[in-house]
Amino acid sequence: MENKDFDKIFAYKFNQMPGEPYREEGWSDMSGRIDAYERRRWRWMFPVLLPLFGLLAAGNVFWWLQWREGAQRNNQGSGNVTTLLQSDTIVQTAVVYRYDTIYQNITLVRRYNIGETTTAKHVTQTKTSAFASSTPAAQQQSAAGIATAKVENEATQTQINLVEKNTQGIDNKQDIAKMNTEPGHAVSHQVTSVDTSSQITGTRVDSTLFAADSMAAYIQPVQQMIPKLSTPFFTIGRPRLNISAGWGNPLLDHKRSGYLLGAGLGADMELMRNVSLGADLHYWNGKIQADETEELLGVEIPNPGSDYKLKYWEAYQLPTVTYSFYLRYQIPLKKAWTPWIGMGTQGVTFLPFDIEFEFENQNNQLEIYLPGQTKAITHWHGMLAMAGIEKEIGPHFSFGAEAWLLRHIGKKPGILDNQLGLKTRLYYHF
Amino acid sequence: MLNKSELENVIRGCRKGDRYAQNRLYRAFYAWASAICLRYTHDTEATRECVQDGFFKVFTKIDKYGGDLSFEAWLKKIMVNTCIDRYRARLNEAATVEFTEVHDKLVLAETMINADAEYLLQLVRRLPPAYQATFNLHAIEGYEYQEIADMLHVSVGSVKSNLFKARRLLKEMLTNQQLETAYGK
Repeated sequence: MENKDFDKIFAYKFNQMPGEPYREEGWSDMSGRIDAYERRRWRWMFPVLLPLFGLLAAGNVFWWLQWREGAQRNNQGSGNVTTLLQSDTIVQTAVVYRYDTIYQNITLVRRYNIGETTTAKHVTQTKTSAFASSTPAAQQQSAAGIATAKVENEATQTQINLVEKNTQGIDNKQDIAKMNTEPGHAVSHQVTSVDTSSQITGTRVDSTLFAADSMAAYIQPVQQMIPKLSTPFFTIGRPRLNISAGWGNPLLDHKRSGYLLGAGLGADMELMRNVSLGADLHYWNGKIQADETEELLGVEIPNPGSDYKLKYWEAYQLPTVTYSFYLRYQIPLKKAWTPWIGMGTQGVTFLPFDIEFEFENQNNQLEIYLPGQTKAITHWHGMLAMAGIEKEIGPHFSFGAEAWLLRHIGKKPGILDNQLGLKTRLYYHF
Repeated sequence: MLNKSELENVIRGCRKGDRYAQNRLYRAFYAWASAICLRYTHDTEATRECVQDGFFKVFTKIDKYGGDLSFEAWLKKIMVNTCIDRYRARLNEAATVEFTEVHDKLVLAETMINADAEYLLQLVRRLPPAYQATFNLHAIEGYEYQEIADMLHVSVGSVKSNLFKARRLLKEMLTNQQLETAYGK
């Protein structure tokens, strides 16, 4: 017999052979091996990711410190603006602008017609005088500067335009006092005191209040006090869009493990002062493992027989879409981070996902895995309670972080109806 | 077995680590895979271990399945390689087999045609591991000498020699069995 024929007979016979039929024990063993492998597979990442996250966090803190330092420097610099026109006229403008408790906008403008050669000197001296530094030495220097200016140019004209919008009436003395303690705000105090009375009475500013400054004689109120407009109760506006990323921890009674990760889009709009209405659309995915099936609403539970008892069920993919509406109240603190609290409601659509049930035979401890699949389900999730903080990071952007708690109001909560989670958001202000 | 679209879905699910899809794949191909591993092992327990190891490789390396081969061919390759890896240490064991000349070719052909697959399998399993692997790879799977040499990490000459000896042993066993049956030895 030829070798080819010999081989062909073996090949033919062997290809007809049925293999061993499927064994449930085999799959049970395989499933355990895969689980162990997956656990092992990600374990190496911790020593890598941990320093990476540390570096990222350190980088963020460093960046934030740099940013804060820069912002503080800018704030200090923006307290007054000095403009010099290098001709025969020097114009100096000092603006003090203070929000909230006192809406005060004071502009001092001085014009000196002086000779080219003395410009620099007068600039320095005039600046000192205008800010009326609280130190005696500075006051003397200030007076000397003015005197020099008067001597050198008799035709000096000074005009101080005072514009004051006082939203709090006369109750701003404390704030003014605070301002006085800070260098550079002394003039503000003087001007405010004078201006409040002078504008109300409509008289000229008394020059004696500007003892160290001869320009006081020329002070004239050029603008009447602008009355504060009352804020309407409903102020619909300030629309914002946001993108968010979040983590959710399902609070199941018999949960073994589980989490959700997601990303979404949202929008909010101010309804009244510090109160806004928002809406979110979020996509979540994750995995969950639990011992009991009572929270598996709308899922057909397989029944392998009375000898078998459920050990656990597991869903490896849990795709859901949530939509929430909420009201939030922004706590009006003048801090870099603005805290807020909110309440809302949330609905959910479960997209179809696979579930695996592991049953164990009570007699011989044989484990079997039975697969199941869900259909798309939409239902009301529960009530949301939220709390977070927010910080402006640019003229159009804010960054926020928040914690949220979802509670189902009813007797039979679903698998994701009770959750605790975290979210970060990046807001875009129009 | 699964049809083409089902198989594609199952493979996609396995790539995502979906346990349900993995179970479907395992269920569908377990018997087929075990029929391959049977030929390379010497007992049922070893066959099962090879099948398990092979499927474990399938599930953990399924990302590397590019679709250039059919899935069955890819799975078969993994199963065969798993069996060979398992017995690699024993593949180079020196086989001390004495041969007797087989004269009656007609008896041999008759025996082979009448023999059932299970019996032939038992004969192949009685071969030394190196002969068994070489014979299976060449006669059953259809690999060339060079491919077998690469897979077993031996020379082409060794492959030819092992194959020759495997065939000769099998023929001898078949003829002896026929003679034993005929003359009641």
